[in-house]
Amino acid sequence: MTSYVVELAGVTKRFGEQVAVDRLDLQVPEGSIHGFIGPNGSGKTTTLRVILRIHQPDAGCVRVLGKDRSEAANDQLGYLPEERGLYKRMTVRQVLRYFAQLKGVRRPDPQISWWLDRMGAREFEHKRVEQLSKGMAQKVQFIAAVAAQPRLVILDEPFSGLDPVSQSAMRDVVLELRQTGTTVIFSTHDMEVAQGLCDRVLMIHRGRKVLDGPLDSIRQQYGSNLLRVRMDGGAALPADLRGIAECVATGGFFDLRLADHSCRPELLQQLAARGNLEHFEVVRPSLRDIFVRIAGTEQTT
Amino acid sequence: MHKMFTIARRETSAMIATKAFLFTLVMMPILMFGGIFLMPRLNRLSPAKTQRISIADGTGMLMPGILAANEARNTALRSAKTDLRDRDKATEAESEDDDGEPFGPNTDLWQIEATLSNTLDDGARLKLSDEIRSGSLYAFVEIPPELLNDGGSAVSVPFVSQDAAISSARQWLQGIIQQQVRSRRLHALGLDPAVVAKADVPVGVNPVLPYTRSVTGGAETKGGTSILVTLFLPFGVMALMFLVIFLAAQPMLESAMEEKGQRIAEVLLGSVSPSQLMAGKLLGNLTGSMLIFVIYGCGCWLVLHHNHWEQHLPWSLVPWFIVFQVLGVVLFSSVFLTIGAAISELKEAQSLLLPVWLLLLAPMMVWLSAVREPNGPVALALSFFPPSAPLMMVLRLASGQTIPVWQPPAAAMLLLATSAAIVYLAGRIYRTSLLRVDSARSFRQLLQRLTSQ
Repeated sequence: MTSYVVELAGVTKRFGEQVAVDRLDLQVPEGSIHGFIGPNGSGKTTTLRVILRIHQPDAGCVRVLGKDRSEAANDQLGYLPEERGLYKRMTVRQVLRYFAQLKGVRRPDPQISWWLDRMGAREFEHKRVEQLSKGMAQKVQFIAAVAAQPRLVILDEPFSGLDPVSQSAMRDVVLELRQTGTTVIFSTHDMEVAQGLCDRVLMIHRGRKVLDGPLDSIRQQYGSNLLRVRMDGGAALPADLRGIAECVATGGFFDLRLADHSCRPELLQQLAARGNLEHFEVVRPSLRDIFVRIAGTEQTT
Repeated sequence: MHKMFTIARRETSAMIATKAFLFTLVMMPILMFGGIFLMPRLNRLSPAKTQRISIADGTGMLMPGILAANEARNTALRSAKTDLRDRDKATEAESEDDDGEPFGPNTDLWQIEATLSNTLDDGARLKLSDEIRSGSLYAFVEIPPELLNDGGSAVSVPFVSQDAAISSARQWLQGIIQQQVRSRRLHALGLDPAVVAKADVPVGVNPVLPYTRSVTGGAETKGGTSILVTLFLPFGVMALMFLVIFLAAQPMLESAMEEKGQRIAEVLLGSVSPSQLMAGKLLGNLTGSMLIFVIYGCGCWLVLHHNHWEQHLPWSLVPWFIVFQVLGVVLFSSVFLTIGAAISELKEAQSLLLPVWLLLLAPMMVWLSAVREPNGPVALALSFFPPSAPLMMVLRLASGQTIPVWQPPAAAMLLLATSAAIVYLAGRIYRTSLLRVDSARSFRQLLQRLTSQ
């Protein structure tokens, strides 16, 4: 039986007249990497803050690590906020020690040392935070989130401000966390990052959940009626093909969206019967494609 | 509790381990009290001068006496200066001449001379005035001829100098001329001035504090007192309370602003509740304020001990001082913490802080009347008005006069209840303000946050 570290049921959060999160249901399985994706201002950060109990929901239930009571699970939660939150005048080790102690760790120095080594930040441990570069401060903030060995790590836009090498290193660390059984929730508006890292995604748009589930099944769900074909020599498609809802020409290829994925064998037969088919591919759409499609649909409704 | 103490520890460390705090810790008492102790020492730095004074003696009879008195003064002054140099203890070496004038190493000598004529016309007055303006003459005096006439009507003697109103030479001359005139009037009346002087020996009515029962069962008193001790000791105690509250409350504002502005609050609130955070910060602040109290308290005791004033300090005041300090720090620190959380920039705090400062400073505006009448209506009202209670109550207690025994605990209870209510309300505003990016620019906007989520 799957156990969930986060369970939200009908959660709504308003700020004045604005509804930031609207009747959100969510279950995050233990040990997974769950990506919250959506454009800026869609409600991702508010949802994370509701999970952290920084914001109290106006309606709905929040259950984190099996506990309903506010703040009860905080010691097992690690949090990396979108904007860096470090005391500028403290040294790196002092600030890490302080945040770990606030998570209930009495002697956090061994873990801090291990993480400083792991993140390649050991040489900065006695520097003041104000002396760090933006990328290094991001690493320190990340260590602050994980040094207390939490069961659930919440990362709000963890890759922003990092160079590609640091992004890759951070990605590896997140994957290592999953291997040790830690559940990771992170938010991003970068669909490529989410696609490369997540087991599951929650897509939020205007405070409402528009997509939720395992990444593979979502891509399968949205990709089974997408085809990419090319006729011999880049010739035009026959005009009398049946079962096609949409056709977009891109550099000699045709991206076809079928009216129904059951039409696929029939279409293949039609093209093969003409004898001039050069390329036939069932396309798995990127998260970005899926998001654009959903957001476009939402826009028109 | 562990988290609260962790926050408190950091808060205390952040409060006291900054250059700005240490600078303020040293500078504040110097700015407030430095003048009292530094001015006499600074005055000694300016060298003594010999000041020329011209006297037009219209009576033609007083000048010899004035010159003799001046010669005696100058002789005494030179002798005193020699003693001072020998002892090299300027602070303890002030002495007085026969007229009660304090002598110090920088006391000026007078070089008194008669004008060419015993009476002055306008031309002579203008010429002497020009000499004063050029600096070659310090002052000139016109003794009118009718000064010694009978009739007893008041005759004034013009003393002309650029600092005539505050000149010590004027005060000295007034005494000498008065003495001369009086002596001559007594002679004219057939009275022996020496006999009259004997009859005139002043009777001192000295201020003495009430007696208490001694260990031997007799009555004893702490001894004499003075205006300085009666007025300025209570003021000093009140100023000490102000310093402690000021130095404790200001870092709360800056701390909350830093945590809000640097988005640290978001990380903290991911680990602790807003009430834990606020309680930890207040506890840390309180610890820091106690440290300030100990530092300043030791400093004050040293000053009192050095001047042999410690006997005038009512030691029963100390426990009450601590009680009112703790409550005052909690009250004002929580208000400052809330304001810090509600604003984004320091300049936005001014409109919110001004009324708070005025409430805290109210006792300092009426301290003189409160010391004179510690049980008067103003002092009583301010000591039961919670924001001004800490300062006013310690002022009243330090005045040495009897305060009804129920009043300090009653005021403390009222302050405790108010502090608790303020902490509760401040906590609500603090929680809702920490993550907001907008600022509350008025108390109305601040109070609106009580009801927002």
